Amino acid sequence: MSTLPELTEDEIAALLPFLANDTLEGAEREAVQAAVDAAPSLQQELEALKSMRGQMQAEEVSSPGEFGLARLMRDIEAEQRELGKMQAAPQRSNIWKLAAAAAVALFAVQTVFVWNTGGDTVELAGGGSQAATGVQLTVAFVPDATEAEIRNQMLSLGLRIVGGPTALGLYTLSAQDQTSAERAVRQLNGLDTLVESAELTEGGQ
Amino acid sequence: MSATSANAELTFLLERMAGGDKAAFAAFYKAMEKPVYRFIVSRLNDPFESHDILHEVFMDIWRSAGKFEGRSAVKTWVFGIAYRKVMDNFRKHGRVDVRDEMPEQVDDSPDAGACLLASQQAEHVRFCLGELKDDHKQAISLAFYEDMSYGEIAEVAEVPEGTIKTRIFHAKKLLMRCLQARLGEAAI
Repeated sequence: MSTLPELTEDEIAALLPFLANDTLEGAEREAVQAAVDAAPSLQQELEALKSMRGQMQAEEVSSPGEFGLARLMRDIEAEQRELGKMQAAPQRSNIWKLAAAAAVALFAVQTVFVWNTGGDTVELAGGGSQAATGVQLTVAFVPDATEAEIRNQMLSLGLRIVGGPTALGLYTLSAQDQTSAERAVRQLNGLDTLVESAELTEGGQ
Repeated sequence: MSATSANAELTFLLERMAGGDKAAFAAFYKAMEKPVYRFIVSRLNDPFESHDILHEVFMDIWRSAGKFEGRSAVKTWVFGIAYRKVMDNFRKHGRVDVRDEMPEQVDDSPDAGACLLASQQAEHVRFCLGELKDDHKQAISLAFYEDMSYGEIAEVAEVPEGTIKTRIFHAKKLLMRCLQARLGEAAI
């Protein structure tokens, strides 16, 4: 016959949630279970905890999903490019460094002025696609813009993110109509600390 | 899938990530993104900021995949990273949580029957969880969203197991009291 550990009322109360989530083991589990079996009020409390756990686990959560993964992949690739450049740097002459810097600058300029010519459907970085409504604009945010900053700005301008970030870091946004899209482009281009460039998307209506 | 085989699969993905395998990272993200996000958003209560913290957590996981030594379950290791990121965020914003402090002696026990009824309604549970202060909410979240043992929660929060038991004890009591009150309000 096994001897159960002696637990105080408070200890049993503290361990009850772990009986509810089924993670208690061994003698501790037996002791708590024995206390529950002997007290109807503890049985009700256990049922309430199980019910609470069930409600919490059934709760739907709207996580970043594919958008989040695309953003991570973009940043990982950017880090790897940086690392590659740093590792290769000692073997290159200064001329090559200058050429590389010029190429990066050119790439950045192209990034800003890339036009999305995809029509009514935008390809998401995560591989899916979705129908986009309204008038679209293409925006390049500064590299250290956080998602919270981006989303807050989008909300204040009544814009919706319908695509991106692409591998180049471009977002496709949707405005309700041409007037609000043009106004948003003007306002976004005024936000130097957050936005590198904003343009109406050609054919993006 | 059992917890052991899920852990073996996540460990395998981490090993591949340590070698630079981005497909393994994508699989790891898909397996862990929702629970980690839920943990973060339950504490910050701000979806946009939570997106950024989640991003930082997974960047850290990618960068430090090779450092995982298998001394704890992968899930515990991941939630430990998320826990520290949230704490950093609280410190950055000077967030001090003073809600739900309770006196040392509590002589009124909540009515378990009323709590059981109220706990069957998601809105009551959500409301009462939101009323807890962060330490308590974190312990209950890991216990009930993630089904972690008190030992695992202690590992995540880097505190002794006794501290987690104390937090759970108080959190449970406050939740029960809140649920009972909610049921009383609904009946009026």
